Amino acid sequence: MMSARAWSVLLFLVLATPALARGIETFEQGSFAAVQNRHADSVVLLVIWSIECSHCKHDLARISERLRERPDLRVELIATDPPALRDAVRSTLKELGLAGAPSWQFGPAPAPRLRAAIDPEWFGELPRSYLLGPDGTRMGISGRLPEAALDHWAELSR
Amino acid sequence: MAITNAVSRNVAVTLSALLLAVGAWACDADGISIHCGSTPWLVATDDLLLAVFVQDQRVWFSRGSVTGSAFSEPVAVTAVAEAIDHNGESRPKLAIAPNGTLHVTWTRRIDGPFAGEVRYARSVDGGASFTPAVSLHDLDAPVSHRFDALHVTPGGTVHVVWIDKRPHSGGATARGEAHLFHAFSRDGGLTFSSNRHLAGPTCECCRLGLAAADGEGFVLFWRHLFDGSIRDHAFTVVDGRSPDGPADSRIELQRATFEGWDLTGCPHQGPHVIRGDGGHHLAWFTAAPGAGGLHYAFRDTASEQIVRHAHLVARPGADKPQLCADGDHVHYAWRSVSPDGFTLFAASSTDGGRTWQPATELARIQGDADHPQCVQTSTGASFAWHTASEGLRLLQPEGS
Repeated sequence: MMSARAWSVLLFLVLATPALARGIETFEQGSFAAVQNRHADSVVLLVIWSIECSHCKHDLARISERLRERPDLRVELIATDPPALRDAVRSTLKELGLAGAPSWQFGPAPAPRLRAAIDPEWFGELPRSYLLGPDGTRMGISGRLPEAALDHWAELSR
Repeated sequence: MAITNAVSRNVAVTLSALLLAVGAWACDADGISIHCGSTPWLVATDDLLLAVFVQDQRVWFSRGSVTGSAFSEPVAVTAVAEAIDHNGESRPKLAIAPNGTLHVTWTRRIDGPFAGEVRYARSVDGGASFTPAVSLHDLDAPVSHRFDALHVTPGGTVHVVWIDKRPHSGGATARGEAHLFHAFSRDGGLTFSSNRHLAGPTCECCRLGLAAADGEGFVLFWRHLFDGSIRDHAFTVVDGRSPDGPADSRIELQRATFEGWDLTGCPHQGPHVIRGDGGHHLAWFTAAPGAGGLHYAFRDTASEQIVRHAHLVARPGADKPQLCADGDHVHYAWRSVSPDGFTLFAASSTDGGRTWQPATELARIQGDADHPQCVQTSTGASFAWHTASEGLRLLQPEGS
């Protein structure tokens, strides 16, 4: 018979698994195509954020909550902070329960050029989110995500 | 900025012996220079450029020729390395007092969400040495005191304004609303006043515009929060004659831009203001639907009206505009993303901003580049441009 202690260890492992840290990938000039290809047959919410942006953390906390309810929802996170701030990005993701979410961080290339590689029509304000559809549709939203946008993401992902 | 002859003499004495040869800079591991550092702030005198910049987590001071090609051996403003907040929206500032004292401010990052401190040091020997840095905020808590702006009046009063997220009974809340705070020194930077609440709530992540006004006053132009989340700009004149009023007195602000950019987010793009004939030239960015891009307007001092509004740049990839004026000749420069690097553009007006000629390309660079900065030298209006591959350059717009 398994002891209570062993059960609690097992429970911890099961609960902790989805949140296990995965590596943060370096976002480069061609990375946006990789993001699109990864989700070519499904809906994905792409959220661009920074540790400097309080509104971004607010949105990420809400996304983290949605992912706990619906682990099947697809998300990709891109931090615009420079490579030297990798540890701060990692710990922020961890705090928000998003250490297990697919994450990128801007590489050494100039940030304005990486922004233009994602969307030349985007002026750089944060948070910036895109709902990318399998048919190539793209909806860009600046500022905090309206609840309706999160609902739409969940609905399209069924 | 004009400078007294006393200052010029003071800093010119050792200049010729210290200047680095044109084009002789190379960035190795130990080389400290304005070309190898980043985020410079320049002030022109009659015959010199004075600059502060950041390298190896320290603020440095250097003197250069007005052409910007040769600079003296840098002097450390910060005795030890500290986490200096320097990027497109934040950089050290330098101002020269009429008696020649050099005043420097910058922001130091500290532990805590968005936390920082506004730091100050001065030099009374023409930049040969600087006083130990002090923090100007009078609240000892790890909150955000950032995005410093510095001004020295003709009478020598030193003004520092910054964005502050302290819990505040005058309007800011514990949830971290951002407000403008102000401290000033009437003894040349020896001591500073207590911190004074000026206005708010403001955008929490955008640099401030500050420029001289008549007499001892100055003006502020900043991204405000109207009706909760409208991130347009406000303008105010701070009357320098009696800045030591009630500690919690709010200033009267005027809404200066009207695009109605509704954003619960961070633009990371503050405005710019310079003094012109009869008023102030204003430059700003917005991403409001239908009005996205770079804008210009003039704030007329006599009528207090915002006039001559022009939407100068509508294409994306252009940001953080800079103004430079020489009488009725007004120049409006910005950096723009190009396929392999960045391009510096400038539009010019010969009638004080009433009409604008088409923009021209001032320079094009591969690799990373800073934003332009206005430098008013004896030879006219120039834009300083710092790039990774070519260091600091001064570029003159057409007709300046």
